[in-house]
Amino acid sequence: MIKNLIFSPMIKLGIKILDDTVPTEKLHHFLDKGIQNISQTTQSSMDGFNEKDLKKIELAKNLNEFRKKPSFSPDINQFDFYIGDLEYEEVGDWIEVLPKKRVIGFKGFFPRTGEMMLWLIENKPNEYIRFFDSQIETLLRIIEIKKQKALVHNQTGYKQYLEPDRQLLSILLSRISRETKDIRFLNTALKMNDWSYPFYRRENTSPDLINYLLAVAEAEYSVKVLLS
Amino acid sequence: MRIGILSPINNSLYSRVLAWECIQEPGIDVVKVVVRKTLSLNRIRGEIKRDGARLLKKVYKKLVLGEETIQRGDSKSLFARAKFLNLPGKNLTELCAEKSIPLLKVGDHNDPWVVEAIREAKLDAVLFTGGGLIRKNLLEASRLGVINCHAGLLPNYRGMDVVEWPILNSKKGIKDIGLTLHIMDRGVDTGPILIKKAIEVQKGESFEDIRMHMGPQMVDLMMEGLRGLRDGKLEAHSQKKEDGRQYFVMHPRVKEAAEKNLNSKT
Repeated sequence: MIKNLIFSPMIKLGIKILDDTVPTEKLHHFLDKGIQNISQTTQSSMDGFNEKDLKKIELAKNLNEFRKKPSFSPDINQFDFYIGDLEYEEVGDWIEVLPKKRVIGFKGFFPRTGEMMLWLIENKPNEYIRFFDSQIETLLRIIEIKKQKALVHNQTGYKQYLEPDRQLLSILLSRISRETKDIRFLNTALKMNDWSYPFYRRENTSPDLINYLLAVAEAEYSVKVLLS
Repeated sequence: MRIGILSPINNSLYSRVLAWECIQEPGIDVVKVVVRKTLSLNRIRGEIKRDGARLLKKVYKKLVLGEETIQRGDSKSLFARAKFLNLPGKNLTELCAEKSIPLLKVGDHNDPWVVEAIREAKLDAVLFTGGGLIRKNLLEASRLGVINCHAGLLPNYRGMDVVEWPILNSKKGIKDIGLTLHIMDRGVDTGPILIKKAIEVQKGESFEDIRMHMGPQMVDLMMEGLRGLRDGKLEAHSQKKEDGRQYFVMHPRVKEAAEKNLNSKT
């Protein structure tokens, strides 16, 4: 009884502080509001945004609308998921310079991993399928073990890619999950989105927010397709 | 057969019941018991870093609610087994004192002096009942190695939450729930398999019930394995890395879906 009175409130407070899970309703509200705000912003001014950003907003909006529908028939062709605009050679060059031919290690991931791996899953060039498959399990394992500490670059000088990279990695995991029906990848994407939430919950318009909104929308869409 | 037991905490019911059954078993000598200190700063820091809120939830359940209080009303729990066995002592310290078994209280099972103590004891096997990662030196400190009972069916279900993952993954009915006795290696649940045992989920059981009911069965499987090794009737079969997948802690949203699956299928 005494033990209960002393420890119970302390442990409950500790759980509250350490638990980084974002309640579903809160996340859905954030997603609705975020998409609405950023759509309005881009309608009034395109400053700081490009065509690719608009495409991502449109995709996030469509996926979010789909999430709200009471029933669905998953038709992969109903959305334009293609967000990569890289050249084949650029991706090949990037793979060539990967240290030890690995996209991630215990000290972090190689800059532009999110962008490049997304391009690979979107385009599926035959010669890189084996490379892609060899990386995704390690990517999953290291993010799960090192958590946020895995989501840093293992090279300096690419700061501008870091935040987009993190969100593109989450999008990548959601897509792998839908393609392979392996829910472990969605599980990690959901965790990554929770970790990023505190940094974006008060954001309204930054281009980085677009990637985060799309990451959340993709994971929520995957939840609907794979878990409901 | 000379064995040692590695325990995560002094009052672990699993470790105590297992130690007691080993003591009662002819031809098996419990030579050393190693217990991790609960209140070690390094341990607390490391476990909070690794498990975060999940660790505190576990502490809340074990220390505040009381593990034994939760199990008291359940006839298939470890508590019921302990009662049936008339388990002496409130913890391993008392149990070992009663049977004159040397007990070491350590900060980390892998501490070099612990590994040395295990080596000097010339053990045939070490039974692992929890307490963190086991490193190479300790894995190799006894003749047969460190034996663990994993709460999932290997090689398919390695890692964490392997009671929940098979239920989420199964399309029809509930399958792939079970226990695996294996020799630990440096990978996550990738060591050679000794025995596998499928478990049938009963109607109305929650994940917590399934885990609770696994307790006595884990002890039974450890004992079955020990007897097999003692009598030379058990062989270990190695696993290939690609034979299974490693699973991780479930996100609450995914766990919710697994719970729905469980409820609809039992």
